[in-house]
Amino acid sequence: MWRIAGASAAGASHLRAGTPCQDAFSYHLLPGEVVLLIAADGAGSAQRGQLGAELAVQAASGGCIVDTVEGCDGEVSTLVALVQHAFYSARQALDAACDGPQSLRELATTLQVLLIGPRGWAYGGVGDGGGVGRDDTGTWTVSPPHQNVYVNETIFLTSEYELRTASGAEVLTGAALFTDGLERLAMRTSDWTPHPGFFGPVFRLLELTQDTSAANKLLALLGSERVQQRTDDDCTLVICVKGDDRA
Amino acid sequence: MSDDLLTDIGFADNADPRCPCVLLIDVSSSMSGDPIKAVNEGLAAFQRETAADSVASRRVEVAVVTFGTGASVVQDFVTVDQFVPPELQAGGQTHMGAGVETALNLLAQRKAVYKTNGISCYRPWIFMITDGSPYGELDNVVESARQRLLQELTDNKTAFFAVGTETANFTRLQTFTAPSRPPMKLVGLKFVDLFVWLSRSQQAVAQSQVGQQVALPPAGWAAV
Repeated sequence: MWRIAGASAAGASHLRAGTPCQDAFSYHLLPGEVVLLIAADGAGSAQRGQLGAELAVQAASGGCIVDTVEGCDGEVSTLVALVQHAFYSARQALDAACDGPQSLRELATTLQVLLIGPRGWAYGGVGDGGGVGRDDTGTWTVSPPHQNVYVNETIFLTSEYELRTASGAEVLTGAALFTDGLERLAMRTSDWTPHPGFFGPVFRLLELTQDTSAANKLLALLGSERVQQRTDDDCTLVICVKGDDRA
Repeated sequence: MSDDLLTDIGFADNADPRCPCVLLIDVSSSMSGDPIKAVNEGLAAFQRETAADSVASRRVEVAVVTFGTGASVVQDFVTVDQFVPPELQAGGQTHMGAGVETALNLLAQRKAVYKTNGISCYRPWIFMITDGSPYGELDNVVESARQRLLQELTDNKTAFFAVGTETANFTRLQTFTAPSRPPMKLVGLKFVDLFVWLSRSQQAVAQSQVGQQVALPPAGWAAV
């Protein structure tokens, strides 16, 4: 039995500038006990980055839902194919929503997709932000970030991108995706390992809280002064934990 | 009980990302007197302005390289809160090629240090100030430095700004810069205004978010 929750909060720099939160997220429980987590960060420099993030998330989740409408075997190779198709669908949606390169750039957004099945997981990402997985060995990153990209520059779904992918046969009992506003709070940036003091309690929060109020708690966390003092940017966190089946 | 769950959540204590900036300054003999005095006042103003911004003072790292007859690292990279503005002296030729090479080497070393320590960084800036054009160096030395610089600009490894006083050779300077960022002409000896602008620009960069095109403040010190 999976518990899933997510929240986005606008960062202080967006509040100051009067721009809305440009992150978007989504999650679904697909057939075959497969969890789908999606997060996107619309570019602050793009005029319609928020719309780009929302379109990308909708199209990516729509693609995965349609693909699994007749069931999903949960094999890692299937999850990998679903990730690929999610990105294809997202880019197609952005292409369809614009009428030339100029307006495509206006929809610039990052995108991350993580699928967790009973026999493994698959991840895909364009741009910054990251994901972690938890199994009985601990919590670890599913994919290190792109190298050689400067702090205030990243790669977007709207440009010529290279999809960063990863997959594994680990059986996950928890997973999370986060956008770059949370990177420096949730990860040790020197070696890109998850900060245990962050993910341990976050997973526990979801384990101990009913789904709807868990989302409210995540929202309270992201909007809290403790977080807002540490990051200026929009923050999104989507997490899932596997509950105890015996309970 | 719900509040306990939230307050249990701790955050990683990561080093601030760094915003490296090399000030590459012409100290040839023609800079003697009022010009070098104005540059020194400008450096002090840069330190004052940047240090007053708490985020920028931790993130902006400044180094000073001068070129006259040869080039020297007057100040290796320090964060602005540690930066003591030097008192530069002028004299000698204009070995701009050596200056550019020294600045690029210093940046490459610094980036290696960031990498070893897992510190992320913004795109580095080299900010060159001159009142002339390359002089006293072999043509191939200048040319090889210029080609290396242009390659780094093409590869997005650095952003290069060239500022000339009214006596500078702008036609020559333009061959060192990216088409999108032509050399700028300083009005009179407004070095204090120039460095205050540089400080504001670096403050904007140090606080910028991912994907943000940093809008630089208007350059009130530059001739249009």
